[in-house]
Amino acid sequence: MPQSDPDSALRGILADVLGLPTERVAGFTAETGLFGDLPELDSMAVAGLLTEIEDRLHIVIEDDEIDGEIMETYGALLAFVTAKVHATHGA
Amino acid sequence: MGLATIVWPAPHGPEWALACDRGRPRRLLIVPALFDEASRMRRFCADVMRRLDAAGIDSLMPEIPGWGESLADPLAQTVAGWRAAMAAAAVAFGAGAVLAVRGGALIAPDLPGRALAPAEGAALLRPLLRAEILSAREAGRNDTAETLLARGTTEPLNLTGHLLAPALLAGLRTATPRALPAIDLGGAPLWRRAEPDHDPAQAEALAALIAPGVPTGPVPPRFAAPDLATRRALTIPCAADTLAATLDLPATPPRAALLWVTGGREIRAGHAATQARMAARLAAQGIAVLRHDRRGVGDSSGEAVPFADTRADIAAALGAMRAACPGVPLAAYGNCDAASALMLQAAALTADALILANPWTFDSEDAPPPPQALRAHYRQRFASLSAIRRVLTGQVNLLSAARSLLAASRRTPRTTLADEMAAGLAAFSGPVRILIAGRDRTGQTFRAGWEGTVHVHPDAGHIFAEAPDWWIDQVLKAVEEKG
Repeated sequence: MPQSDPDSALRGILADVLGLPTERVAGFTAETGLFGDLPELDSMAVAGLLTEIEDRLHIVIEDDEIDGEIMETYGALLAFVTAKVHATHGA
Repeated sequence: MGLATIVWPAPHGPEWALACDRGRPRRLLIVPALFDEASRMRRFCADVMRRLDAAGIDSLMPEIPGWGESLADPLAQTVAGWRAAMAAAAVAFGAGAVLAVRGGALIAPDLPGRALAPAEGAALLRPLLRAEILSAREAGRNDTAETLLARGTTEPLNLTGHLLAPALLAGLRTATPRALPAIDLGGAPLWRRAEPDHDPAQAEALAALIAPGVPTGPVPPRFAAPDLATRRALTIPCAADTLAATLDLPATPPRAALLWVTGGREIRAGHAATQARMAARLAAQGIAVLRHDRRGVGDSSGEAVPFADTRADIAAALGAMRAACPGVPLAAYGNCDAASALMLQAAALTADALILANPWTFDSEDAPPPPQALRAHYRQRFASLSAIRRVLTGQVNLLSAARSLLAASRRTPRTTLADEMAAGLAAFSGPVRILIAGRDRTGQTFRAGWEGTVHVHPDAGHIFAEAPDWWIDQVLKAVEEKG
């Protein structure tokens, strides 16, 4: 089971994978842009990010589920991850 | 002496290793992480070696054959071959214990020791496959893990620059870590960090955990270092620190010299050892190439500073290259923020020519996304089949996408950084060649705000991995340009 709620877990993962200061990640809103807005977030980083999300939240993300929409904003990524966590571990 | 790059006689030929060898009886082999995790963890491992040195322990960290600075052919590698190489390194160095880092646990020799966050081969392949699928999708190709793995059974796979022959791929898919007690340091996983990074607290904790388990044993006679005429290790003093560098030399006296300034906190071998491979190709064309780790990066000592503050590192490396190759034209090459660093300090550079690829113009991490980058992003989205399908099935809000595209189409304002770079470059008297990758946001953003001549490869990504021949041709032209 995940150690913490998806929101704080996802913020922690973004800070760890992108090397961003925790204060900056704490300030992310649902509208904060990710892929296309954060120069740190290229395909390699997205791959690392998704794999770390899988490992820490104990979920499996299929490659064909990943599209530009999910990575567009923090809110979109959180919604996707939260749905996955609930589907895998129950609400 | 402290940390040094050495050449050791591996079973298949001369191989490179990072060593701290004072001839002491407590000796540790470090089997590094694999693929991108290796470059992300390099600085961390070098720091652990320095801390073990202070604790009286000698250590050796071999390059994985075919990767990093290794001159071995990546397509000739197998998991069993890697295991044999690491076992031979342990014998040559007289190691009494092993520390395996991540995928290093798959190929660690039979010695007592520990494994830092060991991972199965399949788990290491997953992010590689995923990154390849994502970048292929950006390029309009549809690959899946299944199609890639199926193709990889009969032909070499190129996973974002890592070349995996069928035998290596098959071996990795089933490889499991050797049963060594696992270490969990509890901090942020540096092997997942997008840019190589460091964590002194974790390094200290790891060194303290490892040191008691390194036994006292016999010190073998020092092996005779094989001569590698075409690739040499250099150390370059820079203020109070030492830069680790690699010099690739032609078989005959060079007709020109190139200092390759590495961007970001990437190590000098480059992503997937592309820089090491391209340097060898340039050397074969008569160009001597020097690559260095700047301070606080890779094998070099010191603390990493922002790219705009790398003046002393670049000056020291240029001086070392002049000394190594006197009397021939010397060009400096930089991609991304390394290009920006060269532009900012162009007036003070002792180089004869500059080659600048995809210069980085993003002012600060909090700056709004540059319109040009957004334009490329949305063009890609509209071009990709799956995006069109999502539009047709109503999954994309067409209005908001169009609004973003409209906002992005206004004239690109130049950032302060871009202005400073232009001013810096104006003070440079030699020839300058600017290379732009058509599929790179950084390059596209620069191009939008630049009025001078640029050379564009439309299908290349950030490091021109898709267009190596074009890149070589451009560099050869640039080093021969006269001011």
